Amino acid sequence: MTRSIIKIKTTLLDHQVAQLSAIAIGLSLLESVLPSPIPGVKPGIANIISLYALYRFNFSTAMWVSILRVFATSLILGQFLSPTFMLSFTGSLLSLITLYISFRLSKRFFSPISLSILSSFAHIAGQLLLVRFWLIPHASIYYLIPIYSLSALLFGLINGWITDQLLKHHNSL
Amino acid sequence: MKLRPKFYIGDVLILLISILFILFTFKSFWHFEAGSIVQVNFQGKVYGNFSLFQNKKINLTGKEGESVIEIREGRARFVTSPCKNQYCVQQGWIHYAGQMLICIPNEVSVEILDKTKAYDSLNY
Amino acid sequence: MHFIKFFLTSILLCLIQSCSNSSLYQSKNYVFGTIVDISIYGEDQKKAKDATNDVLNEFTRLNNSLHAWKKSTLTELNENIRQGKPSTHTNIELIHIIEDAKSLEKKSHHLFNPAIGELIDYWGFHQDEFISMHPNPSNIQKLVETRPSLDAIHISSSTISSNNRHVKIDLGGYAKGYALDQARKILDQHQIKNALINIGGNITAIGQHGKQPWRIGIQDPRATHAIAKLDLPDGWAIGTSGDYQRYFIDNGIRYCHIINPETGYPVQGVYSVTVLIEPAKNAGVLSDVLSKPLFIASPNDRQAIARSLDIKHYFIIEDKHILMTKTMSDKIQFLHPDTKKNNQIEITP
Repeated sequence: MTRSIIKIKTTLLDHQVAQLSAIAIGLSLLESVLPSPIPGVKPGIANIISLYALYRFNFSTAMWVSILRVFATSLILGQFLSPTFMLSFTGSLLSLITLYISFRLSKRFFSPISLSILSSFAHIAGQLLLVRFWLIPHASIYYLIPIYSLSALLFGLINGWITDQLLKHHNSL
Repeated sequence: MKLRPKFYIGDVLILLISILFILFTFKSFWHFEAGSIVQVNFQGKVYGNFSLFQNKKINLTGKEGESVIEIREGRARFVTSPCKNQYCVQQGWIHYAGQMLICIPNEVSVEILDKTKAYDSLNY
Repeated sequence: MHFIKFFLTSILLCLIQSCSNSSLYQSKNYVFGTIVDISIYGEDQKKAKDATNDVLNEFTRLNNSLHAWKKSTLTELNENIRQGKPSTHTNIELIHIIEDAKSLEKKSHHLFNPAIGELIDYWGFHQDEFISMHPNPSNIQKLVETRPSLDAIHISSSTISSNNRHVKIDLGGYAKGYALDQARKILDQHQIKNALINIGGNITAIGQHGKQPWRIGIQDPRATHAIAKLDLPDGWAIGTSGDYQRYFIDNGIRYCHIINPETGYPVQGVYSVTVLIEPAKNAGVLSDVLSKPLFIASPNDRQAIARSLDIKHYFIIEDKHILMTKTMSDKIQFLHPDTKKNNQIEITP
């Protein structure tokens, strides 16, 4: 009987991603327990970690953190490949694309708060589009747009501000 | 520790545009007009349009189990739903045009139609 | 910064402004024993209200002048006819109305007959709250044999006389349409460009509702909702005669308020007849009058009647049967898919 140990070489980036993802997953799980007044209205605090990763490291770190979090959270909660997972995945994907584009905006004019608001809007837009065109194609969800937009702005603002503080005061998370 | 965040001009711009956008969505999507027809969608298809001015219960058996929708006195609601979170039931009655209840797990949605005024005036 | 704030504030103000301009003024009032519903689009509230008040005052005036059974200029005239007396100094408006009604009676081969007030009264429809009655065939026969017709009316300058004492003029199928045409004139004087006037189901449109035409629902005669809808462009008018507005049921038979002047009995079997009238000075009157001959005519005579009266758009609902002209079917949309399933739909050229 031979014992084999598979050793994977890990890079520094892997460690960063792992650490940040762990925090993000924790926050996501925490959030999933919190009651929400309207389905879909959530603070999205895990987004803080993605945003932090984007500023502190680079886009690919942020992307990995985001995707790992979506997959891991849904696996833990037993929602993998369920509509809830698809919603979360689409939202995160659109939110990442937005971050990728808006990260090129001049740092002289735009702080993380801007990016947080924009990605927050993208997140909800992705989810609404998915509901409209795939999950319940016949439903018109226009009625929900104002509430979701308002919550996107509110939580985008708060998350952005927290990220801003983290970047300023805790440069070594 | 300074907690005041530094707002850049771009942030202010994005904030203002967002607020305008939200005001716009409220204005265009929130008409508080009592509806008269409710549309029930089930498994991606229109299950049927029903007058809100009747007393009726609709039972739909989907993947998760049975959803029961009740129509009474110009309003509609989910009475029971097999879903875990019960959001659709908790939201209670809806009666304004454009309002809707969605139960994603069981693929049921109930919407008060916006086109209740298919016409401006009635010829009789 | 200040510039941006100013810019955004002005956009916001524009948004609010544009909303308040596209307002719809609506009023519902009870005149003519029915509901008068006036919608005015895109005018300020004050102007719309003033115009509406003028229209309502006119309607009240017409009601006092043309009412068929409450004391009015018309009932005075009818009383004189009954006593065989000529009416002198009759007002010019009433003379015009009677002359017009007379010519419409002739054109409709006497199916539209406003002289059968005695028959209508016999059937009990000359009351706000009528009660069911048992018709007596010999009494009805006697009333039919008096041959009431506006042909018997003679007009010389302002004097009206009749050589048939049994003529009792009832403008029930004319007055609402006439009021529509009057309302159009008054709103024109107030320079109202977009309005919809509905008097007890007879409707005429001025302009349109914003970017789209005014949309009209046609009542389902056996339900509480509309059966179909259509766009009513500027100047057009629509009217319906139905067996479901004023009727009573005796021994399981439905007796409606539309009486065939030839038989003396209410028409049976027809649920409703809708006519759509193209723009004309008297479109309102035509929308009110022209549905009656089609309602009364036997099914075989309908096409001939429609042709002689130049009715291009009509829509007739009977039991499980809907009949309409090709031009009408191009214009209307059914609101429920079941309508097409449950009715045989016949389209005439």
